Amino acid sequence: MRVVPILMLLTAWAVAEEAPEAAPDAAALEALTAAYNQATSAFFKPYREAQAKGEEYALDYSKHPRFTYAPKFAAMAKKAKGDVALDAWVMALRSGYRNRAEAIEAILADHIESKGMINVVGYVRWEKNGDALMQQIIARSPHRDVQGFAMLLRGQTMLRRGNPQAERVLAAAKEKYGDVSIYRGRFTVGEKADGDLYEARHLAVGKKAPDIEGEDVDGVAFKLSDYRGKVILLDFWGDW
Amino acid sequence: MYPHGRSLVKKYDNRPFVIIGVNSDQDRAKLKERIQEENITWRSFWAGSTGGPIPKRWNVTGWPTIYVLDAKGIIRAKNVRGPQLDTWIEKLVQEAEAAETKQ
Repeated sequence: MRVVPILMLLTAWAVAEEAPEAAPDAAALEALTAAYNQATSAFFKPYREAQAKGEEYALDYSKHPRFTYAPKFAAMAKKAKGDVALDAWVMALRSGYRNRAEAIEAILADHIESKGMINVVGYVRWEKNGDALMQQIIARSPHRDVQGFAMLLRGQTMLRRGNPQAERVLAAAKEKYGDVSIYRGRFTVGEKADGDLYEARHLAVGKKAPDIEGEDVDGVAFKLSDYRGKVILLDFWGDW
Repeated sequence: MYPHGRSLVKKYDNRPFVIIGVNSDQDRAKLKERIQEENITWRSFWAGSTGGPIPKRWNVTGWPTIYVLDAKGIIRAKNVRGPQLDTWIEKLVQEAEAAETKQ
Protein backbone atom coordinates (compact mmCIF):
# COMPACT_ATOMS: atom_id res chain seq x y z
CA MET A 1 0.00 0.00 0.00
CA ARG A 2 1.46 3.41 -0.97
CA VAL A 3 0.79 5.41 2.23
CA VAL A 4 3.11 8.37 1.60
CA PRO A 5 1.55 9.56 -1.69
CA ILE A 6 -1.94 9.18 -0.18
CA LEU A 7 -0.94 11.29 2.84
CA MET A 8 0.53 13.91 0.51
CA LEU A 9 -2.70 13.94 -1.46
CA LEU A 10 -4.79 14.37 1.67
CA THR A 11 -2.53 17.18 2.93
CA ALA A 12 -2.67 18.99 -0.40
CA TRP A 13 -6.46 18.71 -0.39
CA ALA A 14 -6.68 19.98 3.20
CA VAL A 15 -4.43 22.98 2.43
CA ALA A 16 -6.46 23.80 -0.68
CA GLU A 17 -9.71 23.75 1.34
CA GLU A 18 -8.30 26.09 3.99
CA ALA A 19 -6.88 28.71 1.59
CA PRO A 20 -9.40 31.57 1.68
CA GLU A 21 -11.05 32.49 -1.61
CA ALA A 22 -9.99 36.00 -2.62
CA ALA A 23 -12.80 38.55 -2.29
CA PRO A 24 -14.18 39.54 -5.71
CA ASP A 25 -12.58 42.75 -6.87
CA ALA A 26 -13.78 45.62 -9.05
CA ALA A 27 -12.62 43.80 -12.19
CA ALA A 28 -14.74 40.78 -11.30
CA LEU A 29 -17.84 42.97 -10.83
CA GLU A 30 -17.08 44.79 -14.08
CA ALA A 31 -16.87 41.46 -15.90
CA LEU A 32 -20.17 40.24 -14.42
CA THR A 33 -21.86 43.55 -15.30
CA ALA A 34 -20.55 43.34 -18.87
CA ALA A 35 -21.85 39.77 -19.15
CA TYR A 36 -25.25 40.92 -17.88
CA ASN A 37 -25.37 43.79 -20.37
CA GLN A 38 -24.44 41.48 -23.23
CA ALA A 39 -27.06 38.92 -22.22
CA THR A 40 -29.70 41.67 -22.00
CA SER A 41 -28.76 43.01 -25.42
CA ALA A 42 -29.01 39.50 -26.87
CA PHE A 43 -32.43 39.10 -25.24
CA PHE A 44 -33.76 42.26 -26.93
CA LYS A 45 -32.09 41.60 -30.30
CA PRO A 46 -35.01 39.82 -32.05
CA TYR A 47 -37.33 42.60 -30.94
CA ARG A 48 -35.01 45.34 -32.26
CA GLU A 49 -34.58 43.50 -35.56
CA ALA A 50 -38.34 43.09 -35.98
CA GLN A 51 -38.92 46.75 -35.13
CA ALA A 52 -36.40 47.79 -37.81
CA LYS A 53 -38.46 45.86 -40.35
CA GLY A 54 -41.68 47.35 -39.03
CA GLU A 55 -42.73 43.96 -37.67
CA GLU A 56 -43.98 42.82 -34.28
CA TYR A 57 -42.11 40.51 -31.92
CA ALA A 58 -43.46 39.33 -28.58
CA LEU A 59 -40.68 39.03 -26.01
CA ASP A 60 -40.98 36.38 -23.30
CA TYR A 61 -40.04 38.46 -20.26
CA SER A 62 -39.76 35.37 -18.10
CA LYS A 63 -36.52 34.72 -20.02
CA HIS A 64 -34.98 38.12 -19.24
CA PRO A 65 -31.38 37.63 -17.98
CA ARG A 66 -32.15 39.59 -14.79
CA PHE A 67 -33.60 36.43 -13.21
CA THR A 68 -30.28 34.61 -13.44
CA TYR A 69 -28.01 37.60 -12.89
CA ALA A 70 -29.64 39.27 -9.87
CA PRO A 71 -28.73 36.33 -7.58
CA LYS A 72 -25.18 36.34 -9.03
CA PHE A 73 -24.74 40.00 -8.16
CA ALA A 74 -26.07 39.35 -4.66
CA ALA A 75 -23.72 36.39 -4.19
CA MET A 76 -20.78 38.54 -5.29
CA ALA A 77 -21.87 41.34 -2.96
CA LYS A 78 -21.80 38.97 0.01
CA LYS A 79 -18.20 37.91 -0.73
CA ALA A 80 -16.87 41.32 -1.67
CA LYS A 81 -15.64 44.15 0.51
CA GLY A 82 -15.88 47.94 0.55
CA ASP A 83 -17.16 49.78 -2.51
CA VAL A 84 -17.17 46.61 -4.61
CA ALA A 85 -19.69 45.08 -2.21
CA LEU A 86 -21.90 48.20 -2.35
CA ASP A 87 -21.73 48.38 -6.14
CA ALA A 88 -22.56 44.68 -6.41
CA TRP A 89 -25.59 45.16 -4.13
CA VAL A 90 -26.72 48.09 -6.28
CA MET A 91 -26.46 45.90 -9.39
CA ALA A 92 -28.48 43.22 -7.57
CA LEU A 93 -31.20 45.76 -6.76
CA ARG A 94 -31.15 47.18 -10.28
CA SER A 95 -31.59 43.72 -11.78
CA GLY A 96 -34.57 43.10 -9.52
CA TYR A 97 -33.10 40.93 -6.76
CA ARG A 98 -36.10 39.43 -4.99
CA ASN A 99 -34.85 39.74 -1.43
CA ARG A 100 -34.72 43.53 -1.34
CA ALA A 101 -34.90 43.64 2.45
CA GLU A 102 -31.72 41.56 2.67
CA ALA A 103 -29.87 43.80 0.22
CA ILE A 104 -30.97 47.00 1.93
CA GLU A 105 -30.12 45.67 5.39
CA ALA A 106 -26.62 44.69 4.25
CA ILE A 107 -26.10 48.04 2.56
CA LEU A 108 -27.25 50.11 5.54
CA ALA A 109 -25.11 48.05 7.93
CA ASP A 110 -21.85 48.55 6.04
CA HIS A 111 -22.22 51.42 3.59
CA ILE A 112 -24.57 54.07 4.98
CA GLU A 113 -21.82 56.72 4.92
CA SER A 114 -20.73 55.94 1.38
CA LYS A 115 -21.18 58.33 -1.56
CA GLY A 116 -22.68 55.35 -3.37
CA MET A 117 -25.82 55.65 -1.20
CA ILE A 118 -27.10 58.07 -3.86
CA ASN A 119 -27.89 54.95 -5.93
CA VAL A 120 -29.62 53.19 -3.06
CA VAL A 121 -32.13 55.70 -1.69
CA GLY A 122 -34.48 55.14 -4.62
CA TYR A 123 -34.94 51.55 -3.48
CA VAL A 124 -35.15 52.21 0.24
CA ARG A 125 -38.09 54.62 -0.10
CA TRP A 126 -40.64 51.96 -0.94
CA GLU A 127 -39.74 49.49 1.82
CA LYS A 128 -42.31 48.89 4.55
CA ASN A 129 -40.18 50.73 7.13
CA GLY A 130 -38.83 52.95 4.37
CA ASP A 131 -39.67 56.24 6.06
CA ALA A 132 -37.63 55.38 9.16
CA LEU A 133 -34.75 54.12 6.99
CA MET A 134 -34.77 57.32 4.93
CA GLN A 135 -34.54 59.35 8.13
CA GLN A 136 -31.55 57.23 9.21
CA ILE A 137 -29.80 57.88 5.93
CA ILE A 138 -30.45 61.63 6.14
CA ALA A 139 -29.08 61.70 9.70
CA ARG A 140 -26.00 59.57 9.12
CA SER A 141 -24.77 60.36 5.64
CA PRO A 142 -21.97 62.94 5.54
CA HIS A 143 -22.74 63.70 1.88
CA ARG A 144 -25.00 66.63 1.12
CA ASP A 145 -26.29 65.22 -2.16
CA VAL A 146 -27.29 61.96 -0.46
CA GLN A 147 -29.03 63.88 2.36
CA GLY A 148 -30.87 66.13 -0.09
CA PHE A 149 -31.96 63.37 -2.45
CA ALA A 150 -33.11 61.22 0.46
CA MET A 151 -35.14 64.07 1.96
CA LEU A 152 -36.75 64.82 -1.41
CA LEU A 153 -37.63 61.17 -2.01
CA ARG A 154 -38.93 60.83 1.54
CA GLY A 155 -41.28 63.77 0.95
CA GLN A 156 -42.33 62.45 -2.47
CA THR A 157 -43.10 59.02 -1.03
CA MET A 158 -45.27 60.62 1.66
CA LEU A 159 -47.05 62.59 -1.05
CA ARG A 160 -47.73 59.42 -3.04
CA ARG A 161 -49.16 57.82 0.08
CA GLY A 162 -51.39 60.79 0.93
CA ASN A 163 -49.46 61.56 4.12
CA PRO A 164 -50.26 65.17 5.19
CA GLN A 165 -46.66 65.57 6.49
CA ALA A 166 -45.44 65.51 2.90
CA GLU A 167 -45.61 69.29 2.47
CA ARG A 168 -43.46 69.95 5.54
CA VAL A 169 -40.75 67.47 4.47
CA LEU A 170 -40.72 68.71 0.86
CA ALA A 171 -40.49 72.33 2.00
CA ALA A 172 -37.54 71.41 4.26
CA ALA A 173 -35.85 69.60 1.35
CA LYS A 174 -36.24 72.70 -0.81
CA GLU A 175 -35.00 75.05 1.90
CA LYS A 176 -31.94 73.05 2.99
CA TYR A 177 -30.97 71.29 -0.23
CA GLY A 178 -32.65 73.24 -3.04
CA ASP A 179 -29.39 73.72 -4.94
CA VAL A 180 -28.30 70.05 -4.79
CA SER A 181 -27.95 68.56 -8.25
CA ILE A 182 -29.59 65.16 -8.88
CA TYR A 183 -30.40 62.77 -11.75
CA ARG A 184 -26.98 63.26 -13.32
CA GLY A 185 -27.23 67.03 -13.22
CA ARG A 186 -30.54 67.21 -15.05
CA PHE A 187 -32.45 68.60 -12.08
CA THR A 188 -31.99 70.18 -8.69
CA VAL A 189 -33.74 69.09 -5.51
CA GLY A 190 -35.45 72.52 -5.52
CA GLU A 191 -36.96 72.08 -8.99
CA LYS A 192 -38.36 68.66 -8.16
CA ALA A 193 -39.59 69.84 -4.77
CA ASP A 194 -41.43 72.74 -6.46
CA GLY A 195 -43.49 70.33 -8.56
CA ASP A 196 -44.27 68.15 -5.56
CA LEU A 197 -45.11 71.16 -3.35
CA TYR A 198 -47.54 72.40 -5.98
CA GLU A 199 -49.16 68.97 -5.95
CA ALA A 200 -49.25 68.80 -2.15
CA ARG A 201 -50.82 72.26 -1.90
CA HIS A 202 -53.19 72.34 -4.89
CA LEU A 203 -53.82 68.81 -6.06
CA ALA A 204 -54.68 67.05 -2.82
CA VAL A 205 -58.07 65.48 -2.21
CA GLY A 206 -60.42 68.26 -1.09
CA LYS A 207 -58.79 71.00 -3.17
CA LYS A 208 -60.48 72.75 -6.08
CA ALA A 209 -58.81 71.44 -9.24
CA PRO A 210 -56.94 74.08 -11.24
CA ASP A 211 -58.49 74.69 -14.65
CA ILE A 212 -56.86 73.16 -17.72
CA GLU A 213 -56.77 74.99 -21.04
CA GLY A 214 -55.59 73.17 -24.13
CA GLU A 215 -56.40 71.61 -27.48
CA ASP A 216 -58.00 68.26 -28.08
CA VAL A 217 -56.69 65.68 -30.52
CA ASP A 218 -58.49 67.45 -33.39
CA GLY A 219 -56.91 70.78 -32.51
CA VAL A 220 -60.06 72.28 -30.99
CA ALA A 221 -59.43 74.48 -27.94
CA PHE A 222 -61.33 73.68 -24.77
CA LYS A 223 -61.17 73.93 -21.00
CA LEU A 224 -61.72 71.51 -18.16
CA SER A 225 -64.17 74.03 -16.65
CA ASP A 226 -66.40 73.62 -19.75
CA TYR A 227 -67.52 70.43 -18.03
CA ARG A 228 -68.35 71.95 -14.64
CA GLY A 229 -71.58 70.39 -13.38
CA LYS A 230 -70.46 66.89 -14.33
CA VAL A 231 -68.39 64.39 -12.44
CA ILE A 232 -65.05 64.23 -14.26
CA LEU A 233 -62.73 61.26 -14.47
CA LEU A 234 -59.48 63.03 -15.44
CA ASP A 235 -57.18 60.44 -16.93
CA PHE A 236 -53.53 61.15 -17.78
CA TRP A 237 -52.83 58.41 -20.32
CA GLY A 238 -50.74 57.33 -23.26
CA ASP A 239 -50.84 54.52 -25.80
CA TRP A 240 -47.07 53.97 -25.64
CA MET B 1 -58.28 51.34 -19.58
CA TYR B 2 -60.13 51.49 -22.88
CA PRO B 3 -62.75 48.78 -22.23
CA HIS B 4 -63.37 50.13 -18.71
CA GLY B 5 -63.65 53.67 -20.09
CA ARG B 6 -66.09 52.57 -22.78
CA SER B 7 -68.26 50.76 -20.25
CA LEU B 8 -68.30 53.80 -17.94
CA VAL B 9 -69.36 56.12 -20.77
CA LYS B 10 -72.16 53.70 -21.64
CA LYS B 11 -73.26 53.23 -18.02
CA TYR B 12 -73.53 56.95 -17.32
CA ASP B 13 -75.03 58.00 -20.63
CA ASN B 14 -77.36 61.00 -20.02
CA ARG B 15 -76.08 61.34 -16.47
CA PRO B 16 -73.68 64.03 -15.20
CA PHE B 17 -70.42 62.19 -15.90
CA VAL B 18 -67.62 62.60 -18.40
CA ILE B 19 -64.14 61.21 -18.97
CA ILE B 20 -61.55 63.81 -19.93
CA GLY B 21 -58.15 62.48 -20.95
CA VAL B 22 -54.78 64.14 -21.06
CA ASN B 23 -52.87 62.25 -23.70
CA SER B 24 -49.09 62.15 -23.88
CA ASP B 25 -48.48 60.42 -27.21
CA GLN B 26 -46.13 62.41 -29.39
CA ASP B 27 -47.48 61.43 -32.79
CA ARG B 28 -50.87 63.11 -33.14
CA ALA B 29 -51.79 61.38 -36.41
CA LYS B 30 -51.00 57.93 -35.03
CA LEU B 31 -52.92 58.81 -31.86
CA LYS B 32 -56.03 59.68 -33.87
CA GLU B 33 -55.80 56.29 -35.59
CA ARG B 34 -55.57 54.51 -32.24
CA ILE B 35 -58.54 56.46 -30.89
CA GLN B 36 -60.61 55.24 -33.82
CA GLU B 37 -59.36 51.66 -33.51
CA GLU B 38 -60.06 51.47 -29.78
CA ASN B 39 -63.34 53.36 -30.08
CA ILE B 40 -62.25 55.91 -27.49
CA THR B 41 -65.28 58.17 -27.49
CA TRP B 42 -64.18 60.58 -24.77
CA ARG B 43 -62.29 63.79 -25.32
CA SER B 44 -58.61 64.26 -24.50
CA PHE B 45 -56.32 67.20 -24.25
CA TRP B 46 -53.30 66.52 -26.40
CA ALA B 47 -50.31 67.18 -24.11
CA GLY B 48 -47.74 66.62 -26.83
CA SER B 49 -45.51 64.46 -24.61
CA THR B 50 -45.18 63.20 -21.04
CA GLY B 51 -43.32 66.44 -20.26
CA GLY B 52 -45.86 68.76 -21.87
CA PRO B 53 -47.17 71.81 -19.98
CA ILE B 54 -50.34 70.09 -18.70
CA PRO B 55 -48.69 66.99 -17.14
CA LYS B 56 -45.87 69.20 -15.91
CA ARG B 57 -48.28 71.53 -14.12
CA TRP B 58 -50.07 68.53 -12.58
CA ASN B 59 -46.72 67.00 -11.54
CA VAL B 60 -47.53 63.78 -13.33
CA THR B 61 -44.60 61.36 -13.23
CA GLY B 62 -46.42 58.02 -13.22
CA TRP B 63 -48.65 57.00 -16.13
CA PRO B 64 -51.56 56.56 -15.99
CA THR B 65 -52.53 59.00 -13.24
CA ILE B 66 -56.18 59.46 -12.37
CA TYR B 67 -58.11 62.21 -10.60
CA VAL B 68 -61.84 62.12 -9.87
CA LEU B 69 -63.48 65.57 -9.64
CA ASP B 70 -66.99 66.17 -8.39
CA ALA B 71 -69.54 68.35 -10.21
CA LYS B 72 -68.19 71.45 -8.41
CA GLY B 73 -64.63 70.79 -9.57
CA ILE B 74 -63.31 69.56 -6.22
CA ILE B 75 -60.75 66.73 -6.25
CA ARG B 76 -62.41 63.87 -4.41
CA ALA B 77 -60.17 60.90 -5.27
CA LYS B 78 -56.72 60.29 -6.71
CA ASN B 79 -55.27 57.21 -8.41
CA VAL B 80 -58.14 54.91 -7.56
CA ARG B 81 -58.75 51.97 -9.87
CA GLY B 82 -61.23 49.20 -10.62
CA PRO B 83 -64.06 48.73 -8.09
CA GLN B 84 -62.84 51.65 -5.93
CA LEU B 85 -63.03 53.96 -8.94
CA ASP B 86 -66.51 52.68 -9.83
CA THR B 87 -67.72 53.28 -6.27
CA TRP B 88 -66.43 56.86 -6.28
CA ILE B 89 -68.01 57.67 -9.62
CA GLU B 90 -71.38 56.26 -8.57
CA LYS B 91 -71.30 58.20 -5.28
CA LEU B 92 -70.39 61.49 -6.94
CA VAL B 93 -72.89 61.13 -9.79
CA GLN B 94 -75.65 60.52 -7.26
CA GLU B 95 -74.44 63.57 -5.31
CA ALA B 96 -74.56 65.68 -8.48
CA GLU B 97 -78.04 64.46 -9.39
CA ALA B 98 -79.32 65.12 -5.87
CA ALA B 99 -77.97 68.70 -6.10
CA GLU B 100 -79.62 69.14 -9.51
CA THR B 101 -83.06 68.08 -8.28
CA LYS B 102 -82.84 70.47 -5.31
CA GLN B 103 -82.60 73.47 -7.70
